[in-house]
Amino acid sequence: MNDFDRLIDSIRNDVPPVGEAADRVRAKLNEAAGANSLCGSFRADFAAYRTGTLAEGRRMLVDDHLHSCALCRREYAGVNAAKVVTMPKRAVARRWVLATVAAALTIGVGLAAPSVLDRVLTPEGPRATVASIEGTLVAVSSEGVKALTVGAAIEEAQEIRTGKESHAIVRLRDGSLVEMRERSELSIEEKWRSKTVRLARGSVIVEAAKQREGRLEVATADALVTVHGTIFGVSAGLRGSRVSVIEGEVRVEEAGADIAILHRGDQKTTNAMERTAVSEDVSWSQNSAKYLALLVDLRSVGEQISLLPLPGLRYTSSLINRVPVDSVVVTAFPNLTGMLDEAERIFDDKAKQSAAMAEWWQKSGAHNMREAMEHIRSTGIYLGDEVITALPLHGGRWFWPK
Amino acid sequence: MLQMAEATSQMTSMMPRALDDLYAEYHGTVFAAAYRVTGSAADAEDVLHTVFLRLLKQGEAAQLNNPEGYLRRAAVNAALDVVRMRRGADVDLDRMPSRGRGVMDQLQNDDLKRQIRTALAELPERTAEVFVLRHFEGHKNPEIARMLGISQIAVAVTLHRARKKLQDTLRKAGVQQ
Repeated sequence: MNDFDRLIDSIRNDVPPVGEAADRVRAKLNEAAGANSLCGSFRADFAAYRTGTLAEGRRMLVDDHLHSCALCRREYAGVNAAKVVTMPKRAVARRWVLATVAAALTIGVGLAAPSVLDRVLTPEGPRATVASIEGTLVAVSSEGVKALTVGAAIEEAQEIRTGKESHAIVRLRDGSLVEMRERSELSIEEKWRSKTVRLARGSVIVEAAKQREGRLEVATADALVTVHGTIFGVSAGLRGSRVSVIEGEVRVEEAGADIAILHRGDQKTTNAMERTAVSEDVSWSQNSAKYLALLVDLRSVGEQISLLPLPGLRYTSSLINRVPVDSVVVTAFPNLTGMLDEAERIFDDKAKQSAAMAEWWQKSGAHNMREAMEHIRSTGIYLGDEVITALPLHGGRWFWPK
Repeated sequence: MLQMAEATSQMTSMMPRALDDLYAEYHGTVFAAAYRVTGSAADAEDVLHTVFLRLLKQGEAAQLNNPEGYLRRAAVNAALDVVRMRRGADVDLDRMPSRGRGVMDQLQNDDLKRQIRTALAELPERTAEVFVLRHFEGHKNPEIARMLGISQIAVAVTLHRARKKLQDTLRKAGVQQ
């Protein structure tokens, strides 16, 4: 037997026992089978639902199910799918053809420009460094496998993986932190104005630094998550992806689906990925206590702010007579400076009670919000209770009423 | 751990009976076939789930003439897809010691297997499937010919080409043939 046959033999015989994986998969299949039979019963009613002949009670149940089940929504859309009819060609005037070609060329150049700039202006050097490792972190390439240590540089598109019972944190060039769960695999790509963490499998939690001009993305096989400064988790596997937001706002693009904007406490899954509680989704992190406390604190602050009294309805205006007579757009709104002061007091109070909140409120996490509040306040203190803006037809020329 | 296993086995199954029986009999076969191709227990678990979930959705478990052959092929093809989706090569992180000096030794030992698996995934789909069924799963040439609906000669030629390609890969890595 030569080395090749010995190697093949070793692959054939060296198989670990299936162990607890069998029970885990069985439990998931049972869950899917339950959902499958439920979906089947609803799908049988789709035709009647569509024609409006379903009993009221059942119609409400189908309504509710369609709201919560993406697969059935797709199935229902298929039932409803409109037939595509080929329309006869219409004669097009020559000048329109020329105009269309010109527009296409302009758009083409516009679209090509960013990619050219990306090539020219892409920064050189490592994309990230290893900030901490517990267990094993390896870099894998066609040349082989190399164990990484703290401080190691991670190059463009270099694939890194955490081992079993291991986790690691890598720091991107802009200061964003990416925490990797055990058995996770990712690479980092950077262009002129974007950084992309490509998550092939496993889970990460990203603490995104404030993005000055560019953007930070996490890409999985079926989803693209874009952020500006926030904390969120992404998991990727064969069944799809799951995005959970701890703080801030992220935008999720999924092939063939509408763009979703997620906020604190929101979660989105793609394909057949299981949903889970957001708190559970970050429980593996070494900072899980901080993230969970932040989730609870921000929810509590949000509830307190929602209870703040809004300015009452206004039925008269002392400013409307001062609006230019040729105004085409007039908007009026209350001065919210007092309410913002109250909201800031609530944030300050919570920060005194909670270390996680204090860190978020004092550091970069709340930077954008504090900046916006300060901006509104700096103008608002010079205004009265009523604020009016007007857009006069003859821009800049004011016609005071006589 | 024992309690968890007992709880799972005592749980009322929601799966159709035929699928439940297939799972009980062949889950180990599917897992092992997937592991041999991917070299990763986590990926093999995902393949196990994917293969049976597909059967559940299609509702065809009761109509299979040769369930073992069907499941082996499904596992091999799903596992090959997993390896093709990888951007680089694989290393079995589940079985790798998480700490200590053994890490590098095992990385080096697994490296050749990793190269074989990567090269296998780069072969044409049918060629890779034939090689895996013959050499990893132990099917004879006539069985493979029946399973895939091709002639025995075609199986033999495909195997010869696959073997040559994989041996070339190893030769480049400095392994004596």
